[in-house]
Amino acid sequence: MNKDFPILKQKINGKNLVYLDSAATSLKPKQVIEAVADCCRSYLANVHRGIYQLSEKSTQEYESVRGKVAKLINASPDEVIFTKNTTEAINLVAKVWGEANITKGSKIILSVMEHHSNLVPWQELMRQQVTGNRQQRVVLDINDKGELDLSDLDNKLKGVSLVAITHVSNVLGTINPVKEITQKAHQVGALVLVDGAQAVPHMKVDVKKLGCDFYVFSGHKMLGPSGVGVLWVKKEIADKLPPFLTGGGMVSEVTLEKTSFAEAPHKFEAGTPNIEGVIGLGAAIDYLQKLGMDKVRQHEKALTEYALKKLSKIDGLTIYGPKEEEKRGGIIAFNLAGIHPHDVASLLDKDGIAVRAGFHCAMPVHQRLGINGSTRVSFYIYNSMEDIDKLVQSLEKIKRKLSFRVK
Amino acid sequence: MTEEGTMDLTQEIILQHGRLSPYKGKLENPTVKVKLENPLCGDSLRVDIRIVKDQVVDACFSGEGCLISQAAASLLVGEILRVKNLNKIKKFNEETVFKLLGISLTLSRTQCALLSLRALKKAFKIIP
Ligand SMILES: Cc1ncc(COP(=O)(O)O)c(C=O)c1O
Repeated sequence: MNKDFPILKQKINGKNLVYLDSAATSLKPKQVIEAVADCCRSYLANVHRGIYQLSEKSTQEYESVRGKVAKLINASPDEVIFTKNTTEAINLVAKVWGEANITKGSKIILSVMEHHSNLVPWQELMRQQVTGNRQQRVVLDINDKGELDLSDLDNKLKGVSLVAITHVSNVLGTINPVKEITQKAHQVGALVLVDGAQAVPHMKVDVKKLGCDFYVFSGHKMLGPSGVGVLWVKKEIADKLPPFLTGGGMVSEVTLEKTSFAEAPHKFEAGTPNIEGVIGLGAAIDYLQKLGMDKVRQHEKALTEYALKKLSKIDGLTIYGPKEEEKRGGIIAFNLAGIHPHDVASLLDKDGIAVRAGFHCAMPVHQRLGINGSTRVSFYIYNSMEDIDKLVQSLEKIKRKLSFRVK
Repeated sequence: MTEEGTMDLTQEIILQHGRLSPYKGKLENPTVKVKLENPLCGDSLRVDIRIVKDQVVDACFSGEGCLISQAAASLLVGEILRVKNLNKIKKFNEETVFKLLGISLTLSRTQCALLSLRALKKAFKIIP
């Protein structure tokens, strides 16, 4: 399979590239690269506009990807809205749903493990809608195992309008019980937004089974090109929402005085969309479906189990998050005692190993853990046990070089 | 990409200054003290300087950080103490820091290296 990923042919510092940063963005297989190139080369025209052949072909291809996305997450195509990325999808909800529904006295529940993308838009919304009232944001904490502490959930849910929660943490790797949370939230009439940026690329996600109201993810983390994200909104909610950006492509009739808007999903997709990006995402979904999402998950679970075992044998290495691979995605954040994460990442880079270091856009969870950053490895379909062996070898070497004279 | 000219954090000078700096600490009554944060990682660095009649008489730095930011801060403080003359120190620039470190830096790590210089420049703005 690795022959499908041209970037992996590269040498970094004379070593074969070991790419362990798929949680940031995934590599792209040649099938996706080709689909984008082929679209640009042979049929790209604007969508929903022209009545000539190329435009119709572009429109068909573009809309067929909506169908592929819908199938992937068990939704209906008209519930699938294309955005720029996860971040834009969340901002869209915060704006069109939030501004109409979050008023003085409304409460939102978040968790301490949220990515800044699922935190800052809500902070901003609360700031604008309910000036200065901090009590309105309820934060779910984690326990010692790095799992959500849901012990007091029933109480916390009282009077809540929205629960915004990540499906899989991009730091701890924790897979959260979003289905159970949704059931409880719905009992008190709260809606649920799930940030699936680290879930959809790696496991089977069924939005109907989860029961949530909004589900968001990014194409670039699942083999697709950058610049395409997905917002799934339950039909009956989408129909009632006002549009997001306004302009061309999202209207049904316009006079100089007033405009009637198109139906969902088009009313949320103003302007020319990222057509070739969407086409690329379609090819990425084809690639993943051919492998099978269950296989993808199995592969990553095996890698995670192996990595957890190997890493935990390194003296002075602390792993954050659950200890069992069933409870986590293929993401492992850790620290080596006495060595700054940036130095770990720079030294791994010398061995051709690409990892992330710092806060991974999730400062609150690092503050909660009492650490000033971490080093993170994350896996995908192209990673192997050998990659983990190389990582462990390189970490041992770094320790030998830097751990003398540790205070 | 080749290994030639790439960053080597394990050179003795980086290790020595980054881990066991002789200039780490805080001054009792500094003429100025400035604290800065690295926007990339949030690490913070403090530089204390005591000045008498346009001459630096003492300087040191504190804070936790990566090897590069710590080594650069240590080497820069060492250079300040060697040069002493305030007008000359005011002319320190990015090149000064890169020369002191003596290793090439990747783009993202340049920020770490320049944190102490930025602190120094900020200090000059508040020196009476
Ligand atoms: C859990 C989570 N949410 C949101 C995001 C933001 O995704 P994007 O940058 O594609 O908007 C990421 C990825 O960085 C993530 O891991």
